[in-house]
Amino acid sequence: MSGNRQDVDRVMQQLQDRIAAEGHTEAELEEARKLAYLDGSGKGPEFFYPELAAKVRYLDTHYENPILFAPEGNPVKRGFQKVIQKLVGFTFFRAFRHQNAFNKEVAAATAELAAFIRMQEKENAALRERVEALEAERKK
Amino acid sequence: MRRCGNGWKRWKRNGKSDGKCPGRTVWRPGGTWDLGMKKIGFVCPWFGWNIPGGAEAELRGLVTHLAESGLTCEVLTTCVREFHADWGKAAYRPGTVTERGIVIRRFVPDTRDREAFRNAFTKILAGELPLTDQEEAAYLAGSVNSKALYDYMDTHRQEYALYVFLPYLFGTTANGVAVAPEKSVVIPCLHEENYIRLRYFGERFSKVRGMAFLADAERAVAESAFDLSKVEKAVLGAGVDTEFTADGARFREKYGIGEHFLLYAGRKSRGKNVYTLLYCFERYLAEHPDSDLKLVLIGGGEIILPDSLDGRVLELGFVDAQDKYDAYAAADLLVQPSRMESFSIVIMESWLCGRPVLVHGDCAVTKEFAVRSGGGLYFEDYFEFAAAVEYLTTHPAESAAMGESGRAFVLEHFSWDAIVRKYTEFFQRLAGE
Repeated sequence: MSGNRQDVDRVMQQLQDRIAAEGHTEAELEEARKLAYLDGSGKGPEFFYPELAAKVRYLDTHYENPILFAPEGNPVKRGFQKVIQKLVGFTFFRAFRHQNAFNKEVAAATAELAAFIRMQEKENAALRERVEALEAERKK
Repeated sequence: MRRCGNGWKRWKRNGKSDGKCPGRTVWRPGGTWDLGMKKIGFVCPWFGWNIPGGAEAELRGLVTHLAESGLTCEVLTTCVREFHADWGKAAYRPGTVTERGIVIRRFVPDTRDREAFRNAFTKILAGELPLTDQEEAAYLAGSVNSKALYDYMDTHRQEYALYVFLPYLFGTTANGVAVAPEKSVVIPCLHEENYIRLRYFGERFSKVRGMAFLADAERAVAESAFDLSKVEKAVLGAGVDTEFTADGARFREKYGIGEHFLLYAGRKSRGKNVYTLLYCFERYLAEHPDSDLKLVLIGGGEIILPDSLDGRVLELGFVDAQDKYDAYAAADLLVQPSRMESFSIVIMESWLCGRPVLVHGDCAVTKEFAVRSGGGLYFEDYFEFAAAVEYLTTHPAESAAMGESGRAFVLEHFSWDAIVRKYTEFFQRLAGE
């Protein structure tokens, strides 16, 4: 082992002492801890809109299966692949197009649902804030 | 017949002659081990040279390097293509093939009761434990299994010195170790998660011959979950390719990055805790308006970026290996926010490029590596994240020293030479006793 090994615990202690000296409130510390658990571990939020949005974005850009593949390999292989594509095209291409159209509809519907959920989430957050404000007012 | 070392006594005691004297382990001058022992069978749910996954890559590297060192290794697996494929469907033809000098025996997977498996799986994920005996049985029966594989292992057990299973989570391991527990070694690749609470794993793993871990923290988790009092245990680590070069200036020029930046390398998903990195970084920028720091993300997966990070986060997707190494060298530090790692190759690669790392304090394995090596810091909340980022980006000498500490740590413990030697000695000890 290298003789110049860095003392990580000492550095961390310095950093933690500095954080403690800044005098954060318990609420601030709680918020900072929440931010470190956005992995669905149960310590962070249960439903996490950005994850859904990422999946929706993936669906939106990957719903289409390519019907034709560019032939690959040596000239004989490429020629063979072209012939096969032409032969099976009559039956399979129509099914592929139907499937792609269906996938597109599913992707669009999912995006609409996600947008609706987002809207609901914002409304819920606004209502929660309103309720909390009213409760605080009532307590006064 | 020639008499040679303890192997003779064992051979005589067991009274199971296959006509070959087991022999003695010697270190050949050329740098390979002559174990004088039978084959080692590596048992895994699927095997391919290009399939993704940490355990899969570790198995490929281990088998290849052990075989190069002179050990006879075989891979015993199913015909399933990979993790994301249908676990009951054969994608490969069953039979034996030799690829890159390794014999690979593939067996037809069993049909599965997906409904029962899904029900049990959902409960495990939701933490609704303990499961009933029926649910646990349904979970394991619905995992990847192959009766043909187990029959082969049973019939040919005399040909193998040891069966080595990895990772722990699948039927091939949980049910496979029951075939010949006295010659079964498990490399579990586990971390703190609900699956390890299944009683079935505990019952089976308490009877195996040996268990090899990637880190001390992994061993501690395993010992807290299973009764391993009669199991030979060793912390051996995982192999890392150390023979590469990295040029940070080349990366900066190629991608047009002049500023300081944090690097994330790996799959971009919630499970890897990438959103923690994004939102901590967003808040860090908000609180440090003068900072020119950027965040570079490399690897697959889809995430959504907060609008406020427009222009501050560079998503490069998959890059080739050389660009990845160059990125490590160019970055101020690598951030590994995941809380569930059983090894983490990316932090090793970052250290090999001389850069420090910042890991999540809740991940026992990566935190252990950072502290033991002196190669990086850890965080458990935003304030620690911000303090650590500020420290590492404003203390270049200390930062470089941490990178060098990490590099020395990797070369000492996880170079393939070191790993091959440790695994060979462990296997030899288990097979020789």
